[in-house]
Amino acid sequence: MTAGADDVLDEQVLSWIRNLGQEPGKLLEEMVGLFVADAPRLMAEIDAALAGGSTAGLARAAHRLKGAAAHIGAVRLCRTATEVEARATAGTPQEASCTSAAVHGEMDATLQALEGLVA
Amino acid sequence: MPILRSVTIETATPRESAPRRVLVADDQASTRRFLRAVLEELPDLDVIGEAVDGMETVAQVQALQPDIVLLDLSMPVFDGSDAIAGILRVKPDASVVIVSGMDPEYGDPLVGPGVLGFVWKGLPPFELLERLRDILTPEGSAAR
Repeated sequence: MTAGADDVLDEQVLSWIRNLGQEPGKLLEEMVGLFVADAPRLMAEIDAALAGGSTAGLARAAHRLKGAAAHIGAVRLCRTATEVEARATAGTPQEASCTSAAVHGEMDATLQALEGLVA
Repeated sequence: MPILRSVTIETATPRESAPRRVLVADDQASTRRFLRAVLEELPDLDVIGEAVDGMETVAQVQALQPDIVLLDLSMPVFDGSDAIAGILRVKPDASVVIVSGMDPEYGDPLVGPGVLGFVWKGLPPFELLERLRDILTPEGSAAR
């Protein structure tokens, strides 16, 4: 990725998506819409896995979140999901409330930044 | 005086081959949309359908008979090598390209008969496009 450490979104990725296809900007708008619509389900999967103490479920949920975040250029959310997935895969105990707060915090920041893009 | 007529001579042009038909299988709607857009940048490919889990992937392969399947390894119902086996059972000449967020050390060993390549989903989109170009187009293959 090409974003700075604190950037919520990777501008180079967004610019590339913006210019993809016949109608500049249309694909990005569609992808943002799909990501925003899917976000509650992605977060519900994370929360359910944390509540149930399922490391396998948490790894799967974080994996899905990571993929969705990567393609929209949500670099910080992607990094957080990657860390959660790695810890869950390794079976490292995670404090549910801390993990939940971290993922929700990054998702909220991502949604805010994406809404600013297409507003 | 002779009448000169313009005559159109049709030259035999080689018949262009039909585009290869692609099925995109991924449980994320935004990823499927993204992959469709990326594939549209590559020549001679036609995305003919989508699937959201392993079972639907195999059913769609049977119904649509795609030449190529872009396959996520981590999908609901069944996934990974089970999905690959199911695809190749119903269409033995299909070519699978794995597009997954799994680490390459997990995906690379699955490349073999019927599986053209593994593309790590975490790549920046422009690198992901080049990786797919490398695997799916003659230009890419020739450059290897």
